[in-house]
Amino acid sequence: LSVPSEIPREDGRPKWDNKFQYILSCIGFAVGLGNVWRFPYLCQIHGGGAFLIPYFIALLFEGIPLLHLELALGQCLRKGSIGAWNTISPYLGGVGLGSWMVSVLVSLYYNTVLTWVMWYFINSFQEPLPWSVCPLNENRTGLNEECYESTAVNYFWYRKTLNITPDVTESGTLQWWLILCLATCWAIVYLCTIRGIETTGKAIYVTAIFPYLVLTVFLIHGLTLPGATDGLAYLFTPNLNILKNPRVWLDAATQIFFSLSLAFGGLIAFSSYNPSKNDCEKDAVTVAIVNSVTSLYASIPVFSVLGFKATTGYWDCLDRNIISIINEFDLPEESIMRQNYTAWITFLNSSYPEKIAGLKLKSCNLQEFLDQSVSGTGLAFIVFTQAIILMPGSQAWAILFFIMLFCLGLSSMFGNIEGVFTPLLELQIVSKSMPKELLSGIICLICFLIALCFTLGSGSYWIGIFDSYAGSLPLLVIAFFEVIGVVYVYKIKRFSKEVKQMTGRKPNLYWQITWRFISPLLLLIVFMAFVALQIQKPSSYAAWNPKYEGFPMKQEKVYPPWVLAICVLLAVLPCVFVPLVALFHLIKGMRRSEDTSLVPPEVFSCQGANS
Amino acid sequence: YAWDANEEYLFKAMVAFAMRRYSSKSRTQISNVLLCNVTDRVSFWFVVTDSSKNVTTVPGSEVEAAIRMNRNRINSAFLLSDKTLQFLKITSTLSPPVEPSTPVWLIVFGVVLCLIVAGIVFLVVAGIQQRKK
Repeated sequence: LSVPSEIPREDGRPKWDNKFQYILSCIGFAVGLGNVWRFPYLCQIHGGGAFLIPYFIALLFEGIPLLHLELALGQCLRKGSIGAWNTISPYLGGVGLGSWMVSVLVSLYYNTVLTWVMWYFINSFQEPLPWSVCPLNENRTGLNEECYESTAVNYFWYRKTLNITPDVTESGTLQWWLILCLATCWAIVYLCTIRGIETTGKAIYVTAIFPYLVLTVFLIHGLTLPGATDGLAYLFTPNLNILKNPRVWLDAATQIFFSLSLAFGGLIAFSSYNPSKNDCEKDAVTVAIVNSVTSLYASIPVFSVLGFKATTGYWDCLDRNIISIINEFDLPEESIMRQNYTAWITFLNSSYPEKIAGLKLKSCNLQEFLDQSVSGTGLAFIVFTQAIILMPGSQAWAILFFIMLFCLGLSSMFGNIEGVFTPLLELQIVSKSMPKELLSGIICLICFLIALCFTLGSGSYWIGIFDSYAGSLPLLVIAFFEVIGVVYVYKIKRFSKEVKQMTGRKPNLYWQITWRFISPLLLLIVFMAFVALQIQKPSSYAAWNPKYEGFPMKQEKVYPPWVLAICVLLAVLPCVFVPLVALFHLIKGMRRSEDTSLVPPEVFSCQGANS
Repeated sequence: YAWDANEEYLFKAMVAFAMRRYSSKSRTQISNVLLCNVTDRVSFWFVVTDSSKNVTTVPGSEVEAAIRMNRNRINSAFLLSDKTLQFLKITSTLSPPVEPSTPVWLIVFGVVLCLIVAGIVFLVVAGIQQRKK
């Protein structure tokens, strides 16, 4: 069965046009929305520059080794996730099935986030921007009440976009504008993945490179905005005491893990289209470093803009106070400026304390404005859109920003869809005569129909559920079994030999130690800490309820039992495949124990795996 | 610009103008508008007297209505806006936001969708043709 490696194999498997396309696809998959809206938030709440220490340690001992493992696996076995794990050992087939399941679940809700981005994008062509003004109420006497009590930006997001219900159990109706945008997004995904990597390889040039251009433009513009330096100083000021908090280390480990999109099966699918004589070690290090550098690079414009927004809010607060003081004391215009405000206030407070108290001035504190940290959709759709209104030429900035978000999310969707598509192509479920276009069309159509539930009034609560439960815990479990499977079932010595065949050099001590001990141990610790934290407090969510007394603050609600059951199901379903498949094969093996045709997994090698 | 006696004169003229426009029978002269308590902040009280009725003041509600009707003319005479020229107790009426006949986003959405459908059709047809060869 051994084939000399110099003869190129004509196996009809599609391949990348060039190496750059492959690297770009991996980078595009890894660099996603989380780099823009999760990493800066984590930096901010975990002591600024000090967060980089646990982040880089996690990158070194968890991110890069796992990445190298997945890329080498796909390249060696030249199969998607299900086929690859079945080849390594039939008992480990559940790992591939689990990661396929996770890719399906994540594809469903990730594209809905892109739907929201698209909705904001097509609304950015209006002048003035629709989230900058509150609409009037029915009898035109004043502003719409819900909008007036919160802000116009909040109103546009929660009412005009999501039309959110006050509770996760109230489903509300299907929002037709979201359905249109969802159909468009899935049509775009279909257009780009219609022939697998042939088409995504071309599309990735745009979707992977364009965000960097926009980030650079935002960087330059952001640094020129007033207050940008305050935001940046706030972000990067290291607070080394924070390292004593184990929560910081846990967040760093999980951030690295999810940021690199490990255990989805998409990376295995991408590298399976590579020629086998490819230096996967260098690729892994490149992708991981580019991903981390992008996170850092993206946090600079994000925090410049946030600093600008905080400064503007602070100045508005000051100006309002100044106007009331000037009106009250009949002082000449421009006698109190922002610079001498504090001096004036102390003087007036000492001479006329009752008058000052009667004015009910709000205390303006820049630190308080800067402390309002948000991550996730709140950052993009509420905070950033508010900042964009304050910039001159806001439509152009809004359009650029949302195209960038769309490209970031789309390139990650390619990886997810590839993780679903490639194993299906190899499984003998679909006949060879079925054209690829039809298969990808069917996948996209089914996903679109299922994702319609996310366009309900309660859709965003469900996306939060999917994100917290389906897109987090199963990945840790699957990655743990990936490492254990390769190192202890497939045997690390064989794997190192095959990597040597592919890259030309044996994996050095760093890889050996991290693959054998450090990464599995780290994954186990992260998993247990994760579960422990989840169990500690009852799962709750923040609901937008206009009838709540504390409105516009969000109402903390607890999930009802049936929703909790779904959460547990989402988290457990992909993981349960691992023991189930192993058990299945064990029983099958025991039944056929008289017929001793059980082939030990040591039969094949890297070259001969392609049968 | 600095606030001096000329600006006060203009203000009196504008108020008189507003009163004349509001009720066509009004014969308000500039001398009918009286300013008092002018401060450095540039804030003052003013009243409008009615010369035909024995030096009584015009009721405040009429003055308010007159000014509300001509607010934008008064604002533009002083190159100010509703925020910078404030009449206490006269709130500005809100103008409804401009609503185009077709929402703009539908147009953009239509353009985007057409492009995508064209792309899909092109790729599918190209694939079918290639398979036929």
